[in-house]
Amino acid sequence: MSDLTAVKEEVRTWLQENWDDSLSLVEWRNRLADSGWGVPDWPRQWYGRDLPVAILPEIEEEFAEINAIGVARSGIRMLAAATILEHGSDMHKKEFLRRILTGEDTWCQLFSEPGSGSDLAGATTRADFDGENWIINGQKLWTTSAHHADYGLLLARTDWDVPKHQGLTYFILDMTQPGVDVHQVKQMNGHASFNQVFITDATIAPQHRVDEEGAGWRVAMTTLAHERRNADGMNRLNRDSGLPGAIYEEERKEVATVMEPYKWYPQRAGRVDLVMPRAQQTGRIEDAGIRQEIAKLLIMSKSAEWTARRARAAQEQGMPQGPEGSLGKLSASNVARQASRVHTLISGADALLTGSDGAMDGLIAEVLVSVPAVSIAGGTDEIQRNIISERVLGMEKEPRFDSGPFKDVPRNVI
Amino acid sequence: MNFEFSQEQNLLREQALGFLKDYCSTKVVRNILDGEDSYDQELWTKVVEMGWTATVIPEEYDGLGMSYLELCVIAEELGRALAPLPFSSSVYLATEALLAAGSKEQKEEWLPKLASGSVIGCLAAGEGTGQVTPKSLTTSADASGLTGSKLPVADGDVADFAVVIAACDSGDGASAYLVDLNQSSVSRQKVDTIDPSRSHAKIDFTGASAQLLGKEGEGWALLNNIYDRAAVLFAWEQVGGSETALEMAKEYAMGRFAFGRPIATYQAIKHKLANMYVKNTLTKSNCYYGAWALSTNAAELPIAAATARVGAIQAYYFASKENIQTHGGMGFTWEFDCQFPYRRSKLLSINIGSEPVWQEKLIKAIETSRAA
Repeated sequence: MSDLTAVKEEVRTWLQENWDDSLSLVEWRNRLADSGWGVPDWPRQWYGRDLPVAILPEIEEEFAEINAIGVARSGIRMLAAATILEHGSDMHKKEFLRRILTGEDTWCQLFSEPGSGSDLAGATTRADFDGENWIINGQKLWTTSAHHADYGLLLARTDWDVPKHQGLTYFILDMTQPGVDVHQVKQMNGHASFNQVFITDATIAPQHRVDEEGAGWRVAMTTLAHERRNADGMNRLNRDSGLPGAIYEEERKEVATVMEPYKWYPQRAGRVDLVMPRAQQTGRIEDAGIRQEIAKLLIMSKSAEWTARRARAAQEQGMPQGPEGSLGKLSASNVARQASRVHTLISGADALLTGSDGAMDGLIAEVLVSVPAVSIAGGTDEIQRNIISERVLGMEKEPRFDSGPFKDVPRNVI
Repeated sequence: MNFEFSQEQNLLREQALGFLKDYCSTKVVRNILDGEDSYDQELWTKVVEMGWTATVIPEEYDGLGMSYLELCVIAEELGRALAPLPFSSSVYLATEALLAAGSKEQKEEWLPKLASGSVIGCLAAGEGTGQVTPKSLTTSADASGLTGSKLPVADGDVADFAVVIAACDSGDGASAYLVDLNQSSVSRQKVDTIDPSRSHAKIDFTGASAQLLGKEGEGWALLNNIYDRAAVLFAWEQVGGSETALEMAKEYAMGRFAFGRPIATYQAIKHKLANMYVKNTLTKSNCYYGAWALSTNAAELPIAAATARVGAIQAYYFASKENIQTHGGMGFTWEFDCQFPYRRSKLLSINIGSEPVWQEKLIKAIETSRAA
């Protein structure tokens, strides 16, 4: 532990000497990048200090102690950085990493398509090399933050004669060029958190290919693994400091932009926290039937909570990662559905009213029209059940019809 | 809080698993289901020799003085093996009642015998149709002894003594009594139930000699306390049984062919089994929570017990019915073993209060803790 004490001492001293709230956000973060204290778990050569991930919370504590701001961790940025660190060339690292950390560039992820959701490897956006550049044509969907992104992590097909996973290549797409058109997609709950991206003859320079031609699926798996890992930390890192001063104001704007698409997510999860208070305020807690339904919900929600804690404890003890992700997703779907049911039972006819007429200014109605997303986003319930039955229970895959050359595989017409 | 058992506890599990594989195959369960015996006496003798009945009894009463976590491990394995034994009545209910409310003399009289397995205890609370409440109790005691009928009493036909819950016009409306069942004013009759691998009886008391257990008018609180503790142990049995049902379904699905391929390759079957796995795993987390609350006498025990109990009831019923469904027509035959977990799941879903009862307990416990 003496190592840890030394590290904490070192970062504390560095912060005392360098933290300066009169700097601009970018100026300060450039200092962080130069010192390696912004991302201490990254390699020394690339803005880090080669320190183990496990001590990051201790370092974050030192930052919090004096209200020092960290690097721009929010959104897809960190997924881009993790992918570039693992698969990118030195040139990519030099060109992109610093501006990711300073927050000057924002990123988005161009994986899903109108024709391929669960079947992500069935992407049909094409990249053809014209002798000078890659020419991109196709459509991407469910792209969070595409409307203000500078760069996109793109999965595109470069070879149609090999099986589908082998014909994909990973690129970095400049989103600000002509030929990239972004349209917001309005959801059934009225929010528009995602985008559809139409790509017509957009170009990518050869050096902006990531890893080998045909290695796209493997690289995309790195991005997705980090997506799952980051989900937990998102809310913790993206909170408003509430402090006065120009640099905090800049940070506040950044957080607000990043978090905007997620503002209905608590409602999507069912707002279990509001169930008992609502039942008690409305007096519906006296209804025996409603008590039973609330109990069912709270038991589901408790089990999900304890299962997540059990998984975390197992990981802290160094046990290999199990099917926690799938378990967590499936239980979250059930909790959300039961919660929206219980909210309706408690609110009665009020649950129909939206906006300021509705229960809690329409919040309860928003729960009802938001929960269907939980069992679809981030891997549908059906995909999760396949994962559990195949990887945990060892049951064989269903016979499939997409193992030959991709050009012969039946697919959706877009 | 621990979410896994310790190395020693897992060693105990290995030992229990191996032992029950040798001595408690489904053939043993079937013998009790088909035969006249109330439980497997050879298995019981061996379980007693292993010291399982003595697990949590303090050393001063000839017990092993181990923690409830060890007992949870044993419960899970007995549940997994669907053991046809009076273990739960004697250990989770009668022993717990004595530990919770017994006088020094009562403990000295009964606990060493419970530990050594020379006596079997049981709990007699219910009186036929409907949920028993202090108001519904008709069994009562006066100077001439204890009078009334109890039905169904798990292991009532083979037990040596019973903890009887009787009406009382003071306090919480009930008192608990220790009653020696081997006396002339007690008559018992074995009854048929949905799970013939676990015996039940109707017991009639006609002025039976009875000894007050705990204080007069505190019997209802005692019963609830015993139920909260037993709920956690039963939940572990239920989780063990749920895993057996899933294991049976998986093994069958992988070996059974339809339309030219194993039925285990159909998503309709895979998703069914994935759902079983999810319910089992979520319930197990609640059981760990319950085990922690039980072993540390935590204030959260009522909430933890209700959560574990309801989850376990649902998971076991789901797994056992879907196991039958996965087996198709053969699953419905007497010859196949699918009936065992199904019957047991039903029995354990009712024995110490059904889902609605425990769901109501949960809400009440949360209301109390929020008000505090």
